[in-house]
Amino acid sequence: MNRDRISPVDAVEWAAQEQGRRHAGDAADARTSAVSADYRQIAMALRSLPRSAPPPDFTAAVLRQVAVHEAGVEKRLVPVLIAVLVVVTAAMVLLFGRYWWQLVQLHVGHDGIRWAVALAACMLASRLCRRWLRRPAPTMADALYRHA
Amino acid sequence: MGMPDPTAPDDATLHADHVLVTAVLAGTPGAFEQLVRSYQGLCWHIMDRMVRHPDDTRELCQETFLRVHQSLHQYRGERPLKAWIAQVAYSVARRHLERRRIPIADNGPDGQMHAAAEQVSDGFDLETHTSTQEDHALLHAAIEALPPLQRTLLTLYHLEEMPIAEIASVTAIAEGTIKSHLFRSRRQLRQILHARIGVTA
Repeated sequence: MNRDRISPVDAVEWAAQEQGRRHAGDAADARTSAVSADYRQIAMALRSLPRSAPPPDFTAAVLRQVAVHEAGVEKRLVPVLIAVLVVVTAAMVLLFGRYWWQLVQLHVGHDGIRWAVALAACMLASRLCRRWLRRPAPTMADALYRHA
Repeated sequence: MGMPDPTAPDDATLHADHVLVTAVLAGTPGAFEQLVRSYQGLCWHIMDRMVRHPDDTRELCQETFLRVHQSLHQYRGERPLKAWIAQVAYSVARRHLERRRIPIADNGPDGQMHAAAEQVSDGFDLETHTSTQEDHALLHAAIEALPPLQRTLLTLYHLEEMPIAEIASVTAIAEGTIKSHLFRSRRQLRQILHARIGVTA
């Protein structure tokens, strides 16, 4: 069978599946075919699947999150945190950078550093290519997602 | 004169959706809360079927409603709000699974379901259980073992009673492909049921 199509032979079974679905809530009928009876039982099982529900505080949590987003707290906080991270990283490099570099040169050597840089570049290029190749076809929902 | 489509959304539903969306966009107090309360069950259901992890389900449902709140001005009212929100929820869930590199659908026509059948038979004493309830428990376990996409399609079609056209708009998958997934999933569930009957008979 083609993955995306139901063949004429399978159409009979599809009809039985649909008949079973339509009569899932009805009492068993002796006139129903065995195939339809099976699918009726499957439809009943599907209808009786346990349904999980959101916790009682879910709505309140969503409304809080929306309020925070509307207040722009995240938008203001993120640049501040990034700035702090950059300042701290720069300070650490200034204080200990020379010492770290000497340690690396001592243990790895110039050739080793070159090979490590080449390896890192290859891994980065491979990762970027893989991500680009695996990107899904854009849908309307994706457009909404990007907008949001 | 053509027959009316029984699965087409009725005007009353679209009008109610339009009133609610207008109220939310106008900032009417309580309107967005009403929207969340109306559709949180649907969103939770889709997310739960897709990711099968309670903490992730909660977080992703919150993300869905945040995105709904931010993008609601794009809702044009041509189809039910239910389908539009389901589409956003499905998109959020799909991206989550892609980030985790979890395959959302099976790769072959029957391979995944054979694996599902094996998983199911591990947990059941086929010789001793014969009741319909046990059949349902067996089928529930088989459904749980399905890949996220098949599980979600069965749920939307059978439990949410969404028409296939609406499921197609929610998932951005062609109607023929959805029918094919439903067909193969249900046929394999029947095979599992028959395998059990064969052993117990």
